[in-house]
Amino acid sequence: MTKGVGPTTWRGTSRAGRWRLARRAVSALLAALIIGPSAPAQTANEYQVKAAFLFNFVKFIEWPAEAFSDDGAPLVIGVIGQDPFGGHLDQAISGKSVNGRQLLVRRFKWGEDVRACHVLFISASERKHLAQIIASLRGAAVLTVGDMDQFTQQGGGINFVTEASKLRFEINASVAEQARLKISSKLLALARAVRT
Amino acid sequence: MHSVRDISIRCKLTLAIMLTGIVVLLLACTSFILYDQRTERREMMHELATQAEIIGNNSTAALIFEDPESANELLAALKARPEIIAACVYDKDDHLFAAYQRADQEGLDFTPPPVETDGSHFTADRLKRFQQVTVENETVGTVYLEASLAELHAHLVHYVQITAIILLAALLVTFLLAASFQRVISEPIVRLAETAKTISVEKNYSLRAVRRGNDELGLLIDGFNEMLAQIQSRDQQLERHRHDLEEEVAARTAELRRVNAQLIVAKERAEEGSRAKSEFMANVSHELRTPMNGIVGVTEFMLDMPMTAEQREYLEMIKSSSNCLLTVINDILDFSKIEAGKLDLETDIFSLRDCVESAVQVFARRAEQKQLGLACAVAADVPDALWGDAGRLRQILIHLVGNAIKFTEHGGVTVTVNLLSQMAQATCLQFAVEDTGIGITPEKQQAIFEAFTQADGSTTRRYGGTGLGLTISARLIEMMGGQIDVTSEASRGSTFRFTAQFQGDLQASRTMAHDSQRAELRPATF
Repeated sequence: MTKGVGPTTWRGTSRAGRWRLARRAVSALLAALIIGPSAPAQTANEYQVKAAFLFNFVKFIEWPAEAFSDDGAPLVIGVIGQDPFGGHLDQAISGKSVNGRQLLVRRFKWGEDVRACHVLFISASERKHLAQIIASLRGAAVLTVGDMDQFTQQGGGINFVTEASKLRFEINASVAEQARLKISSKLLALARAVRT
Repeated sequence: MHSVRDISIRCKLTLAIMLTGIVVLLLACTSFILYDQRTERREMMHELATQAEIIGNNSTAALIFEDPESANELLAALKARPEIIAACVYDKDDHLFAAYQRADQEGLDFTPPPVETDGSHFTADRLKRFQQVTVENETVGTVYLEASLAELHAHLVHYVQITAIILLAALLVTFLLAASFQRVISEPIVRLAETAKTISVEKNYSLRAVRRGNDELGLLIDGFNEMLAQIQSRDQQLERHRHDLEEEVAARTAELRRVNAQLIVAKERAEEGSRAKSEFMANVSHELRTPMNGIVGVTEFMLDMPMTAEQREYLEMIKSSSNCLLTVINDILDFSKIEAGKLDLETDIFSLRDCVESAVQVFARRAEQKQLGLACAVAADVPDALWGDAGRLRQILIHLVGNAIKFTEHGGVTVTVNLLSQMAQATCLQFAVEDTGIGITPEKQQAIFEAFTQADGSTTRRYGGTGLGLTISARLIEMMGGQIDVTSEASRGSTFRFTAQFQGDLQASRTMAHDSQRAELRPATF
């Protein structure tokens, strides 16, 4: 087991907090009754979960300081190719900030410069351009996230996989290292088929 | 409980010291244990909180990416912490996300508890901790840890055991110390008590208690010794007084003895004198009687001669006077003999009825002259043949009957004899001489038995007599083993009763009683 002590916030408990907890519990129970306990990946919108994952990856990854123009610069999540998230990704990040940085979604088309973003989701539609995209990002502090077979093997950073009908992901740690990204061991611990 | 007061001062002191020590030690140990338990609990709480925080931290990714296996693996690492017996991770909707239960907790039925707000709390044997997991100020789940207090309890038991051992050791040490310290106080007291006991047993007040120090015990011993000194000096004084008293008593006793001896000599002299007087009187009476017998004899002899009536009358007067004088002399002679202790009663067989009749017979003529009734009655059951002094019995009866006739003017005199008791050896008879004379006043009734006394001085002048008769009679009756008394009523008459004991001759009494069946009241005038 790896030990990492992250920032911990002690939440005070209030009557309202408890009420919120209860309400949350009830709604979760209802959701469980309707959709079953196991897989949000199997829900109608698989990409809603993937969007949440994408957002959550940001929390466990540290970018080098030079990746941002200044302290207040936003963290950009790019999507290249056909956007499978619909509005889910925008919903997932709306109003959120990580390490004091606002999140921003930018969409790219094939041929645009993708080095200006921090996370790049390469859509399955760009499969044929994958090698070129990865090559163009060489030396840039950009985490590539894919949703296709052999993505990590071909030099992608994180790839979504479905394992026993659950959404999981693979991390190519050497790729991340080359991109000067520090991936939290906590995230690594959850990853499948980690390549070193 | 046996009273604490009765145990020895040594034990008391030792106990007091030991008790104090033990109590202090017990308090100290208890405080220590309590403090230690508190500290340990606090430490444990802190440790568990830290552990929960670490787990929470490490499970953020698992929670966020909904990977329970990873969280389970994380919790499984708690195997290294034996005190943690169960752990759970809940997701942000408070659903159980991952759980862990210590394998060696047999029979533990662990059901994950519903999520509570952050905090730790103790139950009897558990410490429970809820800890929320947050990422970027967002709650992503809750960690629950449950730790066993067995180790804490084991610690407590261990400490209690150690304390018990320490207490035991302390008990021993305290006992040894107390046993030696208590001597400082108890020894003087014990010695004092021993000295006091020795003194009370031996009664030796010259003993003194030994003083060792100047404390209160020293003062006590001083006081005790002073008291002894006072007792001793008082004893000596008492002894002196006693000695003085003894001497005084001895002196007084000696004096008393001397005086006593003098008195005895004086008494002997007086008795000697009295005896001499009685003897003298007896001799004189005897010497007087001889010439009186001569006078009476010659007078009677002369009365047989022829003479004139005048001469005869004179001679009769001489004879009467002489007889009278002779009676007086006889009385005096008897009295003197009795007083001198020279009178002895004869013991011979006699007929009671003859004796009584002859005594009454003497007065037959005089009673006739005074026109008085004179009778005697001897009860039928009175035996006739008796052993005794018939002469003296007759003398008594003559005197009493004579007196009765002398003091009676009208009526009569009756003599009765009754049987009081008859036994093999002694016959007790009661005699009564009853008259109807002038009587005797109660005051005089006792005095008349004294010598030379009559009921009234005037009676002597009127009736004559020496006054010795009753005294002599009373003494004679006493010598016969009886007593005399009188009942009387003035001017109505007197009754003199006396008892007397005789030896009864059964043989004789039977034959003679047969003859005297006739013993009814008979006139004594013949």
